[in-house]
Amino acid sequence: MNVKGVAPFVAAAVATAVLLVSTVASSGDEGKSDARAFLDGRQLRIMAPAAPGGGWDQTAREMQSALRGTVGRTEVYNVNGAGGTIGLSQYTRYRGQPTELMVMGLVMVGAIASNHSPVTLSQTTPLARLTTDYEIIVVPTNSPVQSMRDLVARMRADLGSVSIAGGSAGGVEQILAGLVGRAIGGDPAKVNYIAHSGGGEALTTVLSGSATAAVSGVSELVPQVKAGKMRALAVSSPQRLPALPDVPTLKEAGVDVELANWRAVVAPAGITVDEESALEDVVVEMTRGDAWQETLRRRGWADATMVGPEFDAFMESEQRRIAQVLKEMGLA
Amino acid sequence: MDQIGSLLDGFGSALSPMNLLWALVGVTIGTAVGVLPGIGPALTVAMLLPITFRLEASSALIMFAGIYYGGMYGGSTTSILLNTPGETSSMMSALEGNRMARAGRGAAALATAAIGSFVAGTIGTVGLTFLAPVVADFAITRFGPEEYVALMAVAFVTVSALLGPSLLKGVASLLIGLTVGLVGIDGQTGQARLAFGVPALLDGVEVVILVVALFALGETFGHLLAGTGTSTVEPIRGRFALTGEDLRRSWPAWLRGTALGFPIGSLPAGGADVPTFLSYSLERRLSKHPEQFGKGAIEGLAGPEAANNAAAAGVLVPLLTIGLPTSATAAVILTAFQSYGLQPGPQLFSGSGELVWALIASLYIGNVMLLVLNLPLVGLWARMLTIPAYGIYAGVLVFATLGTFAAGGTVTDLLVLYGLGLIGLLMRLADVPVVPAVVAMILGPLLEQQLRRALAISQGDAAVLWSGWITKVLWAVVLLALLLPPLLSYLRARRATTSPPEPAPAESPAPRPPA
Amino acid sequence: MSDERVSLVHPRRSAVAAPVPMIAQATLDRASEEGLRGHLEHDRGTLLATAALGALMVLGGIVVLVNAASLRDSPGPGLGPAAVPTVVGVLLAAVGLVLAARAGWDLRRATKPEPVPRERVVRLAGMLVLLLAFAFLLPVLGYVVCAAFLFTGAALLLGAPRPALVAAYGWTLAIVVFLVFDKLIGLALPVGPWGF
Repeated sequence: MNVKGVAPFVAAAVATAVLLVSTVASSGDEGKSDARAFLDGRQLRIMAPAAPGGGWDQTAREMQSALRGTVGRTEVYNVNGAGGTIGLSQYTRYRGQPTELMVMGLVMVGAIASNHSPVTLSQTTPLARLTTDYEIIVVPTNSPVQSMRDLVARMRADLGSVSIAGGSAGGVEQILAGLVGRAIGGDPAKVNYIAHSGGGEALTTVLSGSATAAVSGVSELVPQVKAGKMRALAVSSPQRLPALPDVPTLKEAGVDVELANWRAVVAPAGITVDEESALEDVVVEMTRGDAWQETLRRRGWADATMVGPEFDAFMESEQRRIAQVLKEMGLA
Repeated sequence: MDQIGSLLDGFGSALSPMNLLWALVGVTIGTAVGVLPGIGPALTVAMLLPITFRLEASSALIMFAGIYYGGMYGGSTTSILLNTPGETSSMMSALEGNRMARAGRGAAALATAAIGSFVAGTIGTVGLTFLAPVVADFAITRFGPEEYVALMAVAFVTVSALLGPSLLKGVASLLIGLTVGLVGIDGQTGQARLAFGVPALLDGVEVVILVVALFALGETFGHLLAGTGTSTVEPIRGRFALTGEDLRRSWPAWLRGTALGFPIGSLPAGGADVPTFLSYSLERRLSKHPEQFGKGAIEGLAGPEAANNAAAAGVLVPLLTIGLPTSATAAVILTAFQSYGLQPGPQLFSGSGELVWALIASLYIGNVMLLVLNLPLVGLWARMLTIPAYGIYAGVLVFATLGTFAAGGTVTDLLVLYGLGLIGLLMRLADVPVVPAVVAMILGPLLEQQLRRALAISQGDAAVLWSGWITKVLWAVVLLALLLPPLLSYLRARRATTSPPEPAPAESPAPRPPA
Repeated sequence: MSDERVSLVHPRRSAVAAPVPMIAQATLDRASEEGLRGHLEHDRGTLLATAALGALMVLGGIVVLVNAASLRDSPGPGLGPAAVPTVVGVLLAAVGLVLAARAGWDLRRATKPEPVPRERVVRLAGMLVLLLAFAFLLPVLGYVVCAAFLFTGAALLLGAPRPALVAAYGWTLAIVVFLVFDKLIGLALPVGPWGF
C-alpha cells in the first residue's frame, strides 16, 4: 500500500490516541482541592429546564460562576420545554445521585398542574429557594387607563373587555391575572388573558394598542418604564420595590394579591439525609458569597434564600394555591 | 448625525488588532461550523456561546457577531451544494442553488450567494445603524395581532408559487406541514395537542427537525433507492465563477431581497424565514427567465439569500431596541448580552453605547472579512462535490443526528426525525413537493396564534381583522395576488382566441410574452 | 428518489411551469394535467406512493379530528384550541382521500413500471435498522462508537467500496466531532462505559 492509502488509518490511530488522552485527562482534573468531601472529586451538574436566556437558565449559569470558588467546575445544561416539565421528566432518572441538581420555580409548579404532568415535584428533594422576581402590570403611555384603580373599575364593569397580555399559558403572568380577577370578585375563568411565548412578544401586543394591559417580570420591564414607553400600574410585591419607588403595590391599589416568581434548586429524590444537608450547606454558602450578592444586584433579583422544613412547607402551600387558581381559571 | 460619530468610535474600538483577530476567529469558526449539514446558525451560535464567555465583553460580542454572520454564510454553502439546509431560512437557497450545483455551476451559485449576502448584510447593517429607532417604533407600535394575521395571509398566498405543478399535491404538502405544526402545547390554553402523552412532543416538533428530515434524510434515502451512492457531480463547468450575465441577473434580486428582508426581519414577529419565501416568489414572478425556475435560476437563489442576510441584520433591530428576540439565533444573542449584565432595550444605546457601537462596527467588518474569506474559497467548497455521494451522505447523517440530538437531547427526538424522514421519502416517491410543508409549519402556528389573540382581544368580533390602515393595505395585497393572475391569464386567453393560434402554454416552453 | 429522475420522467413539467403567473398556472396545470392524463401519471411506483400517502393523510386526519374533539374549549369568545385542528383535520382527510382515489383510478391504466431492484429496497430497510440502532444504542455505547458505526454502515449501504478505509474515516470523524463538540464546546454528548 502506498503512503496515500495508509494516511486514513494513521489519522484514525492519531485521533484514537488524542481521544484516550483527553478522556483520561478530564477524568483526573474534576473538582478542586477544596471541593466538598461528599462530592469526592465528582463534578456537580445543574439542569436548567428551559431554553438558554430565560430566568432558569440565568439562575443556573449564575450559580455555576458563584459555585466556582467552593466546588470548582460545574456543568450547566438545558432541557427546554413545556414549562420545565420536559426537563423534570428527564431529571427523575437521576434518582439517588447527589451531584445532579435542577433549577426550578413557580412556573414549573403551574406547568405540572396545567399539563397534567405524570411526574411531579414529589419525585425531587427540595433544597433551597434562591431568588424572587415580582410581576408588574403596565399599560402604554398613551392609554386612557391611568392607574390600577382605573383598570380594576374597567374589569369590574366588563371583565372580558379588558385584555391582558403576558407570557405563556398557565405561566406566572396568567396566574397573576387570574388572582387579580378573583380578588376583585370576578370569575378567574372569564379574565381575558392573551398568552404569548415570552414577555417581549406580549409587550408588542400591548404597545400596538391591541391589548389593554400587559403583565411581565419586573426586571424585564424596568428599562421600558424608566424610558417612558410604558406606564406602570402596580407591582405584585408585598412592599414597593427599590428600583421603582413610585409604583404602588397591588395591595395599596386595593387588590389583595401578592405573587412572587420564585426560583429554587432541587436535588433528585432518594439521596441520603447527609447528602441533602451537605448540598444545602453548599447552596447556602453560595448565597452568602460576594459573587452571588453581586449577581442579585446586577440582575435585580431579590434574595429569597430559604431552606429546610420552612422551604418544604412553602413548596406545599404554593402547589396548593397555584393548583387551585389554575383550576378556577379552567387551565388545570 | 450623532450615529456617525458613535459608529466611528465603534470602528475605532473594533479595528484594534486584538478585536480584529477575534472577529477573524469568529467568522472562521462560524463559517466552519455553519457549513456542517443539519447544523444551522442558531445551533452554531448556541454551541459556541460558552467559548465567548472566557473573553472580555467587547471582544466576546465582536467574535460573536462574526460567528453569527459566519454561520449564515456557511449555512447556505451546504444548502446549495448538498441540498441539505440546516435551517429554514436557507431552505429557499437549496431550491435553485442545488440545481445550479448539479448542473456544474456550484461555484457561480456560491459566489452569488456570498456577494448577495455581503450586499444585503451591509445594507441591512446600515439600516440597523441609522433606522433602528424609527423602524422599531413603527414595527412595535403599529403591528398588533390583526396586522400579523394579514401579513401571514400575504405570506400564505405567495406560497402558491412553491406548490409545484400539481395543485392537489402542493396542498397536500401544505396540510402535512400544518398538521406537524399543530403538535405540542397550545399557546393560548396550555393544552397539549397531538402529543399523545410523549414528553418530547409537548413542546412541538422543531422546524429544524422537519427540515433535516425532509432534506438531509430525504437525499440519503433517495440516493439509496436510486442506487446513485457512488456518483459524483462535476463541480465547476466553465472558466468564471460568475459571468456577466449572472451578475446582471443577480444584482436586482439582491436589492429586492434586501428590501424585503430588512423590514420584515425588523418586525417583532418577523424572523428570517418569511422574507426568503416572499423573495423567491417575487423573483419568480418578475424573472425574464421563468422557465429556468426549478432548474437553477440564479435570481431565485440571489434574492432569498440576500433576504436572509438582510433579515439577519433586521432581526437585531427589535433585539437591540426592545430586547425582543424574533429568531432562535437572536434568542441566543440575547443570552450573550445578558451574560455580560447587559439588558437589550431602550436604554442599551444610552447605557452601554460603546459596546453596542463596537458590535455594530464589527458587523460591517465581519461582512467584509466573510466576503474576502469566502470568495476565494468558493472553488474549494464546490470541489466538495467530487467526494462520492456515499462519503458525503454518511457524513450528513452523522451531523444531522448530532444536530437533532443537540436540539432535543432525547432518543425520542431522533425517532421523530426518522418518522418525518420516512414521510418525506413517501412524499418524494409520490412527487409531492416538500417545501410547502416546511413553509406551512412555520406560518401555520403563527397565523393561528395571532388570529386567536386578535379575536380574543376583540371578544370574537372578526371586523377587527381589517380595522387599521395597515391591515387594509395587506388584505388588498392578498386580493391582488389572488385575483390578478387569473385575470391576466383570462385576458391572455382571450387574446389567444382572437389572434392567430399560439401554442398552448402547456405544450411549449415559450418565454413569457413581453409585457 | 433523486431529483434527476423527476426531470427525466416528466420533461413536460418544466415546460408547463413558469410562463404564466402562479395561481393561474396552478389551475392551468391542473387543466393540462387532466388533458394529458395517462401521459403524466403513468409511473406505477409514483401512483402507489401517492395512494399510500393519501391513505396516510386520511388516517392522520382522523387522528387529528379525534384529538381535537378531546380538547377543552376555552371559556372566552373567539376561537378555541380545537378550531384550527378541526379545519386542518377535515382538509387533510379530504385531500388525502382525493389523492388516494385518483391514484387508485390511474393505477388501472398505469404502464408497467421499471421495477426498483429488490436489492435497493433491502438497502433502504438496512438503513432504517441502522438508524434505529443508532438511536437506541446511543445512551448505552456512547457517541463515538455509535457515530462511527452510523457513518461506516451508511457509507457501505450507499455502495462504498473498501470497508476498512470507510471504517477508518468513520472512526476518525466520530472522534473529531466528539472532541470538538463535547470536549471543546461542551455539548454533553452521551458517553459509554469507557468515557467517550
